[in-house]
Amino acid sequence: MSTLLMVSSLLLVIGIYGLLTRNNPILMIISIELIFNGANLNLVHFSRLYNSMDGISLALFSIAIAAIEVALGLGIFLALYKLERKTELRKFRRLSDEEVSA
Amino acid sequence: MKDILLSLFSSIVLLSAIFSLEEKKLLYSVALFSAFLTLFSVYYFYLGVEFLGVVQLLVYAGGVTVLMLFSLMLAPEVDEKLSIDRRRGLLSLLVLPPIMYWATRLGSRSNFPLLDTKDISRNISDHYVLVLLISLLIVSVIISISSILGGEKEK
Amino acid sequence: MNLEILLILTPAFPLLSFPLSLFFGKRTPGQGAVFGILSSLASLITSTYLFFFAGKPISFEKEWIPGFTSGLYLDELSSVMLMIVSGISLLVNVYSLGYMHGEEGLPRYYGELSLFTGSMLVLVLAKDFLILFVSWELVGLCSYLLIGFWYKREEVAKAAKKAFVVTRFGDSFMLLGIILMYVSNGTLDLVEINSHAREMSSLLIALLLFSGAIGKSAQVPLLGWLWDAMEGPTTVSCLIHSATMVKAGVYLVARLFPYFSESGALPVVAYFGAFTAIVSATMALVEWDIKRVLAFSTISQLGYMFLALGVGSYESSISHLISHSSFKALLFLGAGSVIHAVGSRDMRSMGGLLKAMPITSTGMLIGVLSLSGIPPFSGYFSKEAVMHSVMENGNILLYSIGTLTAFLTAFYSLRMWILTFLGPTKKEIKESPSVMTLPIIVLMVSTATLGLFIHSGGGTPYPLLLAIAGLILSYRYHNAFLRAGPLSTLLSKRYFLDELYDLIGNCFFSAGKALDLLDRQGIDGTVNWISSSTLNIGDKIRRLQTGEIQLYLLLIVIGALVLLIMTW
Repeated sequence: MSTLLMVSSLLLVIGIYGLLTRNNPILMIISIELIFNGANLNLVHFSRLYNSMDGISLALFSIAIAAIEVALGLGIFLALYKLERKTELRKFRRLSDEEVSA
Repeated sequence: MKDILLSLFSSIVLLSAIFSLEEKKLLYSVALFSAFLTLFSVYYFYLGVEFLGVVQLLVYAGGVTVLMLFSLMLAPEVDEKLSIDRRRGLLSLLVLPPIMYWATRLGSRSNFPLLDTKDISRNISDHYVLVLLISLLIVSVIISISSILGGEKEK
Repeated sequence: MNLEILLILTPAFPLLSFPLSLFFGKRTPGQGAVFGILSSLASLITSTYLFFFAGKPISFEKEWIPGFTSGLYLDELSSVMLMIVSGISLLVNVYSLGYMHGEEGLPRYYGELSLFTGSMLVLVLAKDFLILFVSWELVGLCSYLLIGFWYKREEVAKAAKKAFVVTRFGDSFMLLGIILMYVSNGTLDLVEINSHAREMSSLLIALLLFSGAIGKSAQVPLLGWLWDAMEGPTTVSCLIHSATMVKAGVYLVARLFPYFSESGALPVVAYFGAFTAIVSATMALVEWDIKRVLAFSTISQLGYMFLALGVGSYESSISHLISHSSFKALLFLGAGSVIHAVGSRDMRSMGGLLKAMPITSTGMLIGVLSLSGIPPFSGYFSKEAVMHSVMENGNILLYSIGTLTAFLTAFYSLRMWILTFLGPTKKEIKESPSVMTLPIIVLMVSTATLGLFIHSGGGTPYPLLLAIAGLILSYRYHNAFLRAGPLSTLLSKRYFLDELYDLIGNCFFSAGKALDLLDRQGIDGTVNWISSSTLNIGDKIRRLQTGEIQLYLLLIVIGALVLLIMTW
């Protein structure tokens, strides 16, 4: 098994681990970025192995989207922070039923 | 030999990723993440996709990290203190440049042939024009939405 | 003058008077009585004109819905009915001036009287079943409204409701009959039905239609409402008994007489009539309420009319209807005069009124003699005609029932008169005002003279002899039946008819309750259980939705893993 594929899958696992355990929005964004990077590496590696340009093109798009996504995520986080002055994600329960959160 | 070196390098990359999550202080984790991104671009150079490596450095290591730092600044309660441990900064100044140097060497020592950037752009314009247009559209929509929402908030 | 216009105008006057007195009654003299009197007078004039100058049957038709014509029709029968209805209505309206003086809600009263008269006129003139049924129901509605005129008293409201519901019970069968008639024959035209009676005849339809007549004319077994209806004003009772409501059933059978005789329903009609006649006559023997005695006598006389129709003598039935209208109106107006003076309907608080109320007592005596069938009053001739036709028919049972009823009728009617006007004086009272005595005098004259126009068809002496015997016995032993022990209980409880109603009603009520239980517990319970358990499950599942993003993420990852394992 190729080292690079191993790295990409490990990055995915680390990212999921971070997403599930970390409670801080910035750390969660970092985890998402780790997953993105793993995926990009995977794409590029396979595209080189099979001598195709498609994976590379997709990776390019993916990087752009990831950048936008970070910007949006941080923006949303800042807006939420402005509203409620809280940073812990567990305390944001607007998606839930009111009875449960109360 | 080369495989062993690659594995060694990969373990450093993975460690930096893990530490960026495990670090107590957010500022450090962002810094470690920045280091991870910088190191990660070496893979692209190693795979012969220089253009992607450059983009990775510019967008990720440049833009995203700065965004994060700014949000840390704007929401100071995320972190208890923004102060920097000087010893750790000195240590990282000492450790990081040699690793980077070594990594660039590693990147140039691959057996993947170098890819012309023109080929990437040609591929995109041949096969991915629609995707490009759609992503441009999405970006413009996102920007307009955020501007509209922001405008409402100021009232 | 165009007769068709008169045909429309005759019912139009009272129908027009209804909104007028309802809306403008308060500002006019007599609280709206002027509309009622004028409209019924106009109707009387037009209907008299039609009676004398129509000559042959006239009809007025108009296409109502494409393919369905509807209209009014006048022949001898309906022109006679027109005169009766409008004449009695006029007298009642005049009489109400005195009787209802000072009551509250008089505009409503006069308006409803007018509507009552108008709808009865339409009923009499109806050319097809549709108009007949609409006006039939209108008559029922007006009787409900008028019986319940003093609706603030509970028993009045109950009596009105009873009258409405019981007659409606018969009407539902009648509606069924009308529907069947249309389905099987494709026409609702009364004239057409009568002229093609042989081809269209059906016993079932005839019996269903007769059920409507039973309810309306208070025959066995739907007679309970009529004596309760005595809770209404006496004027209303007079109108109901002598002109409008109860005559409608007799009129229906008479109008469809060819149809009934072709379909073979007449024996049923005859037996119902005879049975009703004797049953209600026996009930009257022990009654203390003066109006109820009259109510029983009405039911009994309606039984005579159905009996006459049933044995195939159309003319004698109608002549009895006419004479009955006259003397029953007389009796009711006299009773109303007495009640107005005494202030009670109980005959035990009356007595010795003969000298104080000469006109009323004379009128009542004439009415009683006419009701008993004593010559030379109209009742004798018409009853004689009925009994003659029954004897010609040759049915001994029906004849003996009729004769026995004549005896009972004489007995209870004289008893009523004796209890009211003879004996010791209990109260100092005066004769009623002239607006009340004038209609009584008019009716006295008509009751005494109507017999000249009735062809009695030869004598059967037994009813007259028995009636005279009844009068004599009644004079001596007028309270004989009260001492008769269990029989008197049976009679004064009216054969436990109300209890029978209640029993039947309760049976249906408990069956309904059982069904209700089944519905609530069984069907609704299942539905409720399904909905509540769905809600409960939903509530349980809802708790998964905590709002924590990481829990959602965990679930996504678990789902992805499951997919991965499945596609291994």
